[in-house]
This record gives sequence, C-alpha cells and structure tokens, in this order.
Amino acid sequence: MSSSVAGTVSPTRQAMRRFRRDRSARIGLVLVTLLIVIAAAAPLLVRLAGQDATTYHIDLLDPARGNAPRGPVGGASGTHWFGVEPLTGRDLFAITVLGLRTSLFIAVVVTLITTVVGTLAGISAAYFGGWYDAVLSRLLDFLFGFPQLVFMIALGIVVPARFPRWLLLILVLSLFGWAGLARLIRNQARSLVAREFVEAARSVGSSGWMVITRELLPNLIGPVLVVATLAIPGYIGAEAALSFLGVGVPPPTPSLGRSISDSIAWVYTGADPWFLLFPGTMLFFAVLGFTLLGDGVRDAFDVRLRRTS
Amino acid sequence: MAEPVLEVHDLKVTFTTEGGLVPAVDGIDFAVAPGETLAIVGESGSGKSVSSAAVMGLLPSNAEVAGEVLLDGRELNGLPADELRKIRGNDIAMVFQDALSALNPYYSVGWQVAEAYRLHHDVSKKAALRRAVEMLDKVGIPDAARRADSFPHEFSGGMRQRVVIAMALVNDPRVLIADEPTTALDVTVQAQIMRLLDDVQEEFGTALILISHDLGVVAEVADDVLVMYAGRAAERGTVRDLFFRAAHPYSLGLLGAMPRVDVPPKPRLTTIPGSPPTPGSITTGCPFQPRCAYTHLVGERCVTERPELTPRPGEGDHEAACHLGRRPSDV
Amino acid sequence: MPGLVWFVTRRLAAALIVMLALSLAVYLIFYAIPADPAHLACGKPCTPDRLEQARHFMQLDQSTLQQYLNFLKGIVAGRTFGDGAAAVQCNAPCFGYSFPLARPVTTLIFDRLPVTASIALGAAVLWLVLGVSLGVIAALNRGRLADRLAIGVALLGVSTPSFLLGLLAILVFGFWLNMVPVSGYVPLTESPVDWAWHLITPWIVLAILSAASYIRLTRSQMLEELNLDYITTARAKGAGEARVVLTHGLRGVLVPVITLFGLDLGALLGGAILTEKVFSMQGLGDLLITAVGQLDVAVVVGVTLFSAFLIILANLVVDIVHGVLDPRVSHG
Repeated sequence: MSSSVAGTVSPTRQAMRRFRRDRSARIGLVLVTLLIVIAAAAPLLVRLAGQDATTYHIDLLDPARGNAPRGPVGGASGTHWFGVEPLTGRDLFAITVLGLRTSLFIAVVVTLITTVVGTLAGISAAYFGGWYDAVLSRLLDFLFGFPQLVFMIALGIVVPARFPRWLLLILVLSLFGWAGLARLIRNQARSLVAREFVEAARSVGSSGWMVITRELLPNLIGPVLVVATLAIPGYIGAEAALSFLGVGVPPPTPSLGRSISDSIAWVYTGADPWFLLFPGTMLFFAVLGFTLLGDGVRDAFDVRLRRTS
Repeated sequence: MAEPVLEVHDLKVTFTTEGGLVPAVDGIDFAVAPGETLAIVGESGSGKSVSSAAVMGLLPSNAEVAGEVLLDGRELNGLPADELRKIRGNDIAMVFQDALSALNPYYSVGWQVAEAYRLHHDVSKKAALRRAVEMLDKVGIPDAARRADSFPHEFSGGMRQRVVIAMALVNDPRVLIADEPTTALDVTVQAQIMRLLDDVQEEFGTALILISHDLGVVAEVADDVLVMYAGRAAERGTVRDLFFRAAHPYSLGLLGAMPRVDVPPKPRLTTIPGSPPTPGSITTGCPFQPRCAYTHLVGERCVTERPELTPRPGEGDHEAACHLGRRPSDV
Repeated sequence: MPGLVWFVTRRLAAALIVMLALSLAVYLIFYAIPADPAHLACGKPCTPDRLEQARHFMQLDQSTLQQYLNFLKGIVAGRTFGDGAAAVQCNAPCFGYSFPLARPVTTLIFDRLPVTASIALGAAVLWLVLGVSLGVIAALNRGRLADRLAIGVALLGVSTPSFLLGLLAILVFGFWLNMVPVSGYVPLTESPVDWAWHLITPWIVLAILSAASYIRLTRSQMLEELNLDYITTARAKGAGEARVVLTHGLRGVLVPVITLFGLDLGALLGGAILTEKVFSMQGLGDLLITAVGQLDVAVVVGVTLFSAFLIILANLVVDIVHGVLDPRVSHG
C-alpha cells in the first residue's frame, strides 16, 4: 500500500481496500446483489414463470389431507417451481419472490429515512449542544429501552382502517429506528467538534451549514455507512416479525413473515413443511446476506472491531 | 558487595513476532544484595523493563528467556508455573509505574492488598484484611482502616502509588523491583515515595531494583547502577563510579543531558544525537556506535567487534563495554 | 455505603419521572386523540348497550385532564367505574377495565403474565450464561477451533429471525424427531417438570439468537481486558491463571455485558411475544393482539403501559447492578 507524498490514503479508500480482501464480505456482496436483482425483477420473474400470487388453484390441493398440496415438495412442478400454498393453491414461487420484494422495499425505505433523520439529529445535537443536546439525549435513552414491538402492535388500534398499512409500518419502524444512528453520530460528531479543525473553519467565517457539510460529514461517512448497512437486516427481520404476528403487511400483498405465520399449522402436523421452508429460506438468506455485507463494511472501516485475528 | 540475594547471569530475552525474532535483551548480568539498591538505567527500548519482567516470569508466551536467574542460589528460569507463582509476589515483588492502571478499578484497595497476602498465606479474609490495613498504615495512608474500603479512583496519584507499594510489600519480599515508580508523579510526591522505599529497605532489609530513566532519582537512592543500551549492558558500577567516573560515552551523554547543581553551569544541555536502534537491527559491533562522539578515536573496531564489559583499571567492580579503554571525559 | 444509596435514589427518582411522562403520552395517544374512545373500548361486535356503558364509565363528559388524573389514581389507588348498582370496583393497580371481557385489565394481565415471564426470564438466564461463557472460552482459545465455532454460531444466531428458528426447531425436534412437546404451556404450579419441559425448546431458540451478540461482545471485551495493566499486576502478585481470568478479568467484561443486557430488555419482551405465538402459548402477546383486533382499547393501553413500566423497572435494576459492579459509576 503506497501513500502519496502529499498525504496518506483517505480512510474511505483504505476501507474499500480492506473490504475487497474480506472473503465473507464478498460473499455478502454477491448475495445482496442477487437478492436485489430478484426483488427488483420480481414481477418480471413471476410473469416468466407464468404465474401470479393471487390466482387460486384448488385443483392442485388434496382435500383428503386437509387441502395440502398434491405431490411431493409441496406440489413443486415445472409450472409451479416452489409448489403451491395449502388451502388456496396459490403459486409459492410468486409469493416468495414478491414477498422478498416487499421485505426489501420496506427495509430499504425505513433505513433511508432513519439514516437521514438520525444523522441530522446526531450532528445537530453535537454541533449545537446545550439544552437541545440534553433533551435529545434523554429522548434517545427513552426510545432505546422502550418495548418497541408492544407499542407497534398497540398503535394498530388507534389508526383508522383506511390508512395504508404499509405506510404505517414504515412510519412506525422509522419512529423507533432513528434513535440508534442518532446516538452513534452524536457521539462521533462530538469528538470531531471538539477538535481544532472545526474551530478553525468557524474562525475563517464558515457558516454552520458549511462546517457541517464540509468538515463533519466526510468524517462521519464511515460510521453512517456501517450502521445503515447493518440496519437493513434488522428491518427485514422487524417487518417479518410484525407480519408474522399479523400486524404487519396485510393480505393480499405477499409477505414472507405472514407466509411463515400461515405455515405454522402445516409444520405442526408435518403435512406441508415446504410452505415454511421456501419463504423461510428466502428470509434467512436476505438477513444473512445483508449481515455479512454489513459486517464486512464495519470491519473494513474499523480495524479495532475485527472479528478474528 | 555482601552475599547477593538475586543474581542474574547472561540474561537473554528473544521475542518471536510476525516480523521475525526480536532480541530485546542480549546478555546482561546483575546482582543485588539485601538492603542495597541497584538502579537499572536506560531509555525506552533499552530492555530494562523486559529484564525485570523476565526475572518475575511475567513475559508473554512468545518470549524466550535464556540465562540464569538465581534467587538465593535457586534457579528461577525454567521453573514450572506453579512453583514460580509461589515466588511471585512473595519473595520477589513488583511496583508498577502507573498506579491507576495497575490497580483493579472494581475492587477496594484493602481487598487488593489483602489478596496479595492471601495468595501466599493460608489465613481468613478478615485476618488478611487486618494485615492489609496494617500495611496501608505503614506506607503512610491516613485513616487506613476506613480508606481500605475505598476504590483506586478515589485516591490521589501519590496515595495510589503508596497502595501499590503496600501491595508489593505485604509479604515481606526479599527483592522489590520498582519499575519507574515515580515517573507519573510530581516532584514533591516523588521525594516522599522515594523516602518511603528507603525507610522500608532499612526496616526490612529488602533488596531494591530501581528501574528508571531519571538520573536524579538514581543519584538519591542507588548503591549500584547498571546502564543498559539496546538490550546490552553499557556500564556497571557503584553510583559514585557512574556520576564521577563515567566510563561509557552513553553514560556520559546521559549525565550531560541532565541539569546538575554540583558542577558549574554549562551554556546548554548536551543531547545525544540520533535515537536508539530498533531491537535487533544492530548485529555486529557496538550498538551505540552510530551516535557515539568518540568512535573516530577507535576506528573500525567499533563497527566490527562487539565490546564486552571490561573492568576499569584500579576501580574494582566498575566495568564498561567500550573499546575506548579510557574515560571519555579524559579525552 | 452512602454513595451507593444516593446512586440508587437518583435512579429511582428518574425512573418514576419517566413512568409518569410515559403514562401521559400513552393516555393522550389512545384516549385523548382518537375521535371516539368509547367506540374503541366497546369491542366487536359493539352493542349499543355496551357502548352506552362504556361512555358512562369512561366519564367522557369530564375534562381530559380530569380523566387522566382518574386514570393515574386508578393505577396507584384503584378506582370505581360507574355508580350505583352497576358500579364496578377495580383495585390497585388498576390499568383499566375491559368492557367486552367484563374484567379489570390487571386481572387479564396477571393471568397471562406467567407465560411471557417464564419464556423471557428462562431465555435471558440461559443466554447470559451461554453467551458469556462461550465468549470467555472463545477469547481464551483465540484463533483455535473453539473460537471459530463460537463465532460461527454467533453469525448464525444473528442472521436467523427467532420465529423462523423456532418453527424449524419444532419441525426437526418436535415433529420429525419427536423429542420435545411442540406447544402448550404448563403452569409452574401444576408441574415444574412439565413446565420446564415445554419451555426447553423456546428457551433454547431464544437463547441461541441472543447469545450470539453476547458471545461476540464478551469475546472482544475479554481480549481487550486481558491486555490491561492490572491483569499483569494480578499475575505479579502470584495469582494463578484461573484467578486472573475469572476474578480480575471477568469483572471488567461484565460491565459492558450488563449494559448491553439493559438495552436488550425491550427486545427480550418482543422476542418472548413472538415465541409465544410460534409455540402456541397464550401470553401477553396473544392478549394484546386479540385486543387490537377486537377493539378493546382498555386492554391495549393496559398491556402497553404495563410492559413499559416493567421495562423501566428492569432497566432500573440493571442500572443498579451496573453501579454495584463498577464502583467508578456509583462512588466518587
């Protein structure tokens, strides 16, 4: 690794270099790319398969077995690659792939919102300090320890039925999500603000906004990126959990969590474990891929937190 | 000197690292008798702290220790771990530089001193605590019985250092190794601590090995001095030998760099140009040669032949590892 | 130890203030803001009689402030709903009254609490013990097989959603291998053995998932800890390796672990709720979800507030333990 005469390589470049050498990070990147492609192209894939997520195929069910799908592997065949859903006969491939799309959509949107809000809150708290910082810190402490799941479920009772459920989900997940990043950014930014280069910039007459964007932000990209990437699998899991409990994405929009919840009875009796396994595996890989990617990003940026060695 | 309680012969310490083998200590000898003080002087990287750690058996697993370490004639190097444990903290004890990081923040000082006692004596916790309070009182901590329940962060720097000393002395060790005990303290507290160590020595006849880079402290308390450079001995003798008859250019450099009140003032302090070599980088000749102001008087020999400790003529046990053969100050 | 007493008092006062603020916020969100709170309390299907009863009992003609004060009074000292012959007594702590189910919410909560608590507490104990010991073992065996295994388990745990792992466990161990019961809760009082037997799988599932982050944390903290100066001091005193690691090293590691645990309490409750559903046990989660669907706002508010209070109090306990473990926080 060579450093130029004028100065050393920027931390971001160093990080990218470390990332490229990390094997599990590369695996994560491959997985994530694959997942994003599948999710983005989901409607296309579904049309390619010649199916959709809503058409019932009762003929493919076996009433003798409680309307479980006929045939092995949950009714998998050339037309229905993942088989069909019990009770309804809907194509499981379409449901799984579209469910992934739902999960990723919600997770990414929530991550974007919480990252922006959290970063702004954290930076402003560090920069302005005083009572604003004190109040914000108490608020963050509070949000942190709160039983989020309970509250998210409870809110369902006061929200009018006409309010789009997916929007509510995004808002509620964002409400609790920004706290983590805000706290981290605040701590990092505070140590930066105390350093002379901010003082120097101010003394030259830079406005607050300029100080924030030119001096603070570039140094905070690392932590922001790490937290954001690691947040995605968390939100994938959160949406899945809420849908699993029945208070997440409502039918008819496919959701991996809800499918898993529907599969419970079929798992207990062993009648159709494939109903669990296809959406379950997809969910597992979604979380795993983003976790490996996030771990890789984090290890690349912070040598101290290396998992091994 | 009288019969020494601790003798070290040809001590060599080599570390195995990713970069290869690093010789931190390359064959030194020293000894200390009961009631006497040996000062080991050198810059950081000279190997002085590694030497004392080697004596105690406290080096990490990637360090290989060769040579003889004799406590009352008994070989310590190579002893099985549980035998060594019985000696550590009991016959040989150590006082560390930074008392705040040397003490466990989660336990009271009384508990920690008592632990040192309990590790080597089969007594009840209460008896050990009593002994601990006794020790804390002896090192000059006021209201020792009550303060024994306090935690390290609740003490001032000087008081903390006394606690560390109490912890080291609680088992009446024959040898006390003090590694830069006053470096982190201010001058007045320094004097108190050194006086404490002196009193302890008088009362118990402890042999003291003082590791320091501060020649002022050395002048105050040491009987004998070993000057180390780059893992090797540069000069060895009594404290008077070093201060009045320094026989190694490095020692002279150290003395010259120290402001003194007993000689006429010089216009500026002399410093030794350059910096100490990284361990293992100098394989032949004298390690001090690159910085030596007198090497031109000796020539090639300084680079090709490693100087061994040779006695100064007519000066008893005063030895220097230098090809010059005569006192640099005579030049 | 006056320092510690003062520390506890400060924390307790802070906790009470937070609980008060929270009760106000919850009250506003669920009772004050909605257009027709009586309708939310009425249940499904909503008979006109019950609607009228709800409107009457909830004293909606009074000011919002007065209603809130009654609500608070109920929590602290109990209250009476309605008057005359139809009056209903709700003893302290009164978290509300469910009109559809015609029972005080507190009773409903305490009926279901043992289920959720059993799952949560058992799993927490298991994951703390498992997480910390595996983390210590991994740190002591750095780079060797035990370390890599621990890290691998940790990665798996972090990546798998709890309910997924739970269902897989049911499939494999319950159905295919027929080793453990797959559903149903047996109260401790009925049969301790059966109680534990039915809870073993949920405990292990929840524990593996959370142990993951504790293994990682303990491991990295332990590695850092063993490099600290006072560890060398302990060895210099003549302490054996076991004592050095356990008495001196572990103490410093426990502090961040306890801090993490405090932050995880909310997640612990969430995890317990999910696990309840997977293993078909009827706990607080089931109570809450049903209440939302049945428009029983009294139960919703009661469970929400109760859970929040529980977490705040648990956090208080964790804070105190933290203060006990780390004298730098509580003394001087």
